[in-house]
Amino acid sequence: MTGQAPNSAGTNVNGKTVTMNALTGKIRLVTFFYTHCPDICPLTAYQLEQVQNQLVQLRTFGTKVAIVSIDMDPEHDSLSTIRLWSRHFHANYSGWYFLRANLKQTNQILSAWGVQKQSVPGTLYLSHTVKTVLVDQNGNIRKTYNTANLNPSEIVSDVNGIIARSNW
Amino acid sequence: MSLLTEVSDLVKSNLNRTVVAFSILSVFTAFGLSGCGNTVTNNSSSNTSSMNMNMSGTESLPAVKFSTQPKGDLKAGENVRILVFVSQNSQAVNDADMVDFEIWKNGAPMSAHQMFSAKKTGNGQYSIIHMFPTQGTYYVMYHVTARGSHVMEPQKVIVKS
Repeated sequence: MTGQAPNSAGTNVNGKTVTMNALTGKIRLVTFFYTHCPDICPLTAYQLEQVQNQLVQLRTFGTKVAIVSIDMDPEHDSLSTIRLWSRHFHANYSGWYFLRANLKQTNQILSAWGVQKQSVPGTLYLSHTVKTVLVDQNGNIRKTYNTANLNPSEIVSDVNGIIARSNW
Repeated sequence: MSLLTEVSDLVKSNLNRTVVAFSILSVFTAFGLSGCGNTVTNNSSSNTSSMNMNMSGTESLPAVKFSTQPKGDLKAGENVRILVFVSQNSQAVNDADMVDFEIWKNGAPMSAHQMFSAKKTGNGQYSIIHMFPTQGTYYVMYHVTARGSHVMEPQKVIVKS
């Protein structure tokens, strides 16, 4: 996936609408989750918590870098369940956005980001694309990570590289 | 108890899920993330997160075909091969990041679910050898992470004495 990041919009856990365009000027890590996810999503959130913590230490989290987690299953995830889920990962809401949209909008958002999902029959689970996308301050997609092997140090290094180049 | 009800009960506790996830993470961390085609550890100094896949655009989710050997009803106390055949666009997938089997007896709590990492044992085929200790109804859920997707589905297995 290359080019400009889609201008996705969703409701944050604080009830306010957040758009990708409103975050222009910040580097963004965009990922996808649902709260009934038994393995990949909580593992990804845990890894992103490590990213958050490292960026907080570097004093760039929230000011220069944001994490945007987009919900894939609004039929079963309310804002309150998303908020509860996110707390397990000590999300710092000043820079970590958990966005929920209605089902139609969600499907459009997922399509725009190249994310597929498929309900697992008889369960609340989803089979889905696993990826985290690095978007620069200008909305350009810079890199896509295989979320199955997410490496927080690699992400922080990539983010720092973009910040360093922006200071040239 | 229907599978949906059971799964619904299993996922009601966010904390439990997180604990399970951390348990899985601990296992991965302890042994390294041993994918069948790649070995990646979370502490690896090599940057591997984006190396082993083409993330451009939208790729179709891998197709997974589940089976057991022998087929049909299984016998308690006997070894059985549990396997999946993974493909994408009709081509065998031989570079899966992870293939795990989650096994539990019907009605068992989440804490009693067991996770087993499969090995690649053929063209697009990943399997484990497992022995069901007692008769009953079991569920085997495959977790296939490959080509930038995670695919899972529980399968009902009948084990007879």
